[in-house]
Amino acid sequence: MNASDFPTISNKADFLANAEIMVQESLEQYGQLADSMELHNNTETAVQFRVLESMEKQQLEWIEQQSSGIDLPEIAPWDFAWHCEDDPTKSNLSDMDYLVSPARALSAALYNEYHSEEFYREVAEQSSDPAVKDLASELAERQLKQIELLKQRLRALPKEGHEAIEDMDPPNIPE
Amino acid sequence: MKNSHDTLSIAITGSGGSGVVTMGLLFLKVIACASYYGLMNRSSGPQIRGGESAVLLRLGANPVMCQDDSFHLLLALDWFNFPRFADEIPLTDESVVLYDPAMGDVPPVVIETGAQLQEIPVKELAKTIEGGRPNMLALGMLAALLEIDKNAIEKAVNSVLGHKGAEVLTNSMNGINLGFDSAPNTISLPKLPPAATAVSHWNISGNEAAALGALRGGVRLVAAYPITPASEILEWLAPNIEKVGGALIQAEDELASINMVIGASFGGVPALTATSGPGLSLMMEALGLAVASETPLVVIDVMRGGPSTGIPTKSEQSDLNIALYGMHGDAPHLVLAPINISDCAFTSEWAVRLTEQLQAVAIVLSDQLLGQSRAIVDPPQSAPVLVSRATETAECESYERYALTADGISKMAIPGTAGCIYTADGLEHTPEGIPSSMASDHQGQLEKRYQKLAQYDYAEHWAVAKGEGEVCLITWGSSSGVVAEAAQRLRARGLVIKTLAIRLISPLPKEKFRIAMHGVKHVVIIEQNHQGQLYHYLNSLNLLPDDSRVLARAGPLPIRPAEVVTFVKEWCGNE
Amino acid sequence: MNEIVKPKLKASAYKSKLKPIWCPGCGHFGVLSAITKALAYLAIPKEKVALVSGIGCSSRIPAYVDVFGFHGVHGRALPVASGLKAARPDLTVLVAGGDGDGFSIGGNHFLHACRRNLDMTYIVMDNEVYGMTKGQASPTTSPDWVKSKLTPHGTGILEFNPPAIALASGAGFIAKGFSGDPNKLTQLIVEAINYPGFAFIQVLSPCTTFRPEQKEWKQKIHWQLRETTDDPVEAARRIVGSDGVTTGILFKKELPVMQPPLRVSNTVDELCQEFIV
Repeated sequence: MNASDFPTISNKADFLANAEIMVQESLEQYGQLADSMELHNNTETAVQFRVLESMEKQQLEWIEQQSSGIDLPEIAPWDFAWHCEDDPTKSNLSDMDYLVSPARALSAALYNEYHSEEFYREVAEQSSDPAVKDLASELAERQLKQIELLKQRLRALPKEGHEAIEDMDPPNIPE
Repeated sequence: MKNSHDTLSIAITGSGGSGVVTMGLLFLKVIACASYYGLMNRSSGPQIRGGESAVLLRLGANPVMCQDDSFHLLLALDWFNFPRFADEIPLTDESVVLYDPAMGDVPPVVIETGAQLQEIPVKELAKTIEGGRPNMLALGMLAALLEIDKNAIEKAVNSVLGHKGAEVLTNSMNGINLGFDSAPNTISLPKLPPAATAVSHWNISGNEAAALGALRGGVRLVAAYPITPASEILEWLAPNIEKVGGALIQAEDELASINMVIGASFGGVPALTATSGPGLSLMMEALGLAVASETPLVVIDVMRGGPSTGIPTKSEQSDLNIALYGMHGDAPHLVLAPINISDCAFTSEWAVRLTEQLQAVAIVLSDQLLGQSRAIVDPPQSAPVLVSRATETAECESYERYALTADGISKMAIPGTAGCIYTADGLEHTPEGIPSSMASDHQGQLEKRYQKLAQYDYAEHWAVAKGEGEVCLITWGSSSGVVAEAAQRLRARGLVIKTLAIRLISPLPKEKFRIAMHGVKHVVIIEQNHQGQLYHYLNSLNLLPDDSRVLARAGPLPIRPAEVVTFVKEWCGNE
Repeated sequence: MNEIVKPKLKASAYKSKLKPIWCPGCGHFGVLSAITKALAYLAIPKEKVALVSGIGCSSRIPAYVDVFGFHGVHGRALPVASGLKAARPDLTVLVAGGDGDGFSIGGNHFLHACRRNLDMTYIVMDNEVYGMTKGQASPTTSPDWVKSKLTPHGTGILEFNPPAIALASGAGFIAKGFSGDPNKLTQLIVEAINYPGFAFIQVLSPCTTFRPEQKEWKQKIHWQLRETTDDPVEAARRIVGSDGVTTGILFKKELPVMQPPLRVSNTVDELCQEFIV
């Protein structure tokens, strides 16, 4: 992660605004993938994304609670500063396929979750504002708990090899 | 001359540069100022410049709806490529030919007719005055032969040439007067009955009338791609639509122009385009889209000789098939055809109003004979004002753009209206407009689009019926004038004839048609195409009595009244 | 005066209830996200936006955005949008489609839309394939792609360079984006909408089903660091000399915009004067 890509978090409001965007993005992306998997009849994977979606929803609610009474700065989408190589908003979740197994989907999502945790951790370490430090640490903790839950889920899923996904059905021609 | 209709038919020919067209337009104005009705067709060679030109005029004290069987007078400024026009200018031994001996010998094809030949040395004469032009002198001669009042001539010349300055005006008038005074006195033309004075007439072409009708109907966006013989519609609209707050865009091709029309109409602005056969072929896919998405629009097809590139400068009525059947799928739409030049305004306006109320597509079949001919007519009628486009303005929980209503018409939300957002689609859809492949949705929407047109009461405008009898002549478009005159002649001979000129060809109001056919035992359909397209259409609807046949003749030559009279007389025997 | 100020809508509010049928992993999801974010950022009322499309996977997008939409026929989105904008200059008109829709059957309209310069934004989701009809080469497919049954030896024809065509046709705003970076794409779309005139954005948007190798794009594509240019010659150098995977605003220059005045000066009756004898 490139230090120069790290956003300037001057205060609590900045941090909450950035965090909110990140969580909102993840939330939408997981929801979209859940919808998409359901539509494409991969219900097992859809379920994983729904779980992820609801986790992000809880995370978002928490952030909104922390933000009550605070005027959050408006950050334009392109100014959203988490510009590292593995930026979750840039999505390696694009590696998804309609036949992807729940395990692979969860692994990909976990990758993102780790990076969110890293972000909060970095903010907590680098910030000089005690309010920000506290908030970021707490969020990082919450994120870790989320990660643990997800790892448990992953362990519970059947093991699989690294074969390429074989598609038995040729693509459809709607129009 | 066996001309029972008190009209005069005059042909003027010459090569480019001799001023045939100017002369013709001016002469039409002259007779208009003399309160006569008239009809003027033009014909020319393929050259862009300098080619042969012919102006064919018919005038009378009553509205003139078609060309006669032959010409009383041919005025030839020169004989350049005249044989090209020989078929279009039938002469008899009662015709008179005025020609300038300095411009060549009379062609054999003219001599063979037995017409009376009379020299008029207009080129020589023109040299005797300042700025003298042969065509102006010839014009003066014509006016004299027709015994037209000099006041009428002056009024016409002033209105046409006044803006060119005093010198041009004076020279022209001098030329005309000289010609007037030099008219040969060895010939006599049939005398026209006096025109009713103090009547308000219009001088208008079919294309101009169609364009005016569009604006009257509310069209405020036109997309244009030029094509012979429809370009004049678009050219008239270009400056005039701007004056009434609309716009015309020139498109890159017909695929673009028709889709632009769809876009504007989707945006709530009545829109239209005009084209001819080849362009209409290109537009078919988009017309289907408009039907499926229920986006109102009108396309005017000024028909010309087909198929393919065909004969671009000549008239024909051979696009009925594509107008009726050209869209893939079951795509109900309106097909209308104006009956004469003045009716181009009525029908075009009516089409716009109908499509707006019914959220439908209309193809208006005009043709080159109507479109590019100019006539002196009574002021064109306005079409009835109908219900305007049904729009949704309220906030809807779940807006149903394509709701299955009793009359098939569902409210259309216009972009910019909050609370009733939808996506229009060529895909089959649910009442909300969501794409669907379900049988119930397809059936429902097909029924809706069909019934909204089939159920509608088109009132009396669907056709013009005249007379009564067991014999009925059925026709459409520019053939209507010919049929009306033929019927008059037949009635003068004692036949009891009914005529029916259909203006709304699809959906044909079947009950009204049956009522019109009440008592009719013999039908002749007259149309200007090779295969009898209307005939087959009416047959397919099972609406014709057993004893029906068709006089179907393709372009490029116009059908003449005598042709129809002969056909009917042979058909009916001694009835 | 009591003016009700409508709260700014979130991007998610601009999405419709319909779930996209695109394959999971499809790049178009990113474009949908970027469009909604752009509209939210600009706070344009939903009803004042019209999204016009043709046929193809990308052309399905109007149904997924809660704005007025027109899903037309293959290749004809630009003329529909042009007629709409000319008649309704008050609307924000967006046009969307794929590389086949836009550069093959729609190619002619693309040229003239660039010329005509009506104020609209054209977003092409380029996945270098015809997705909806099962994977044929499109005009932006490289000549050596051999996976299509229609062109088993590859097309053998050099692929189009859409920004070059846009530049040659006179477009004043030419940009390249990547669906995998929706936030930067949002910025491009915002600039495009704000640009007075015809704005063209070619969005590289991978097709996970028929071009799975396009997953590599996110490694290769990089954001242009240079300033945009208003010099067409410089733009031409950048565009034609480009590695094909540099995103950003490639060319931006203000040009005269076509907009009919739509001003009434006469009644229809007055127009009849010319016909009266």
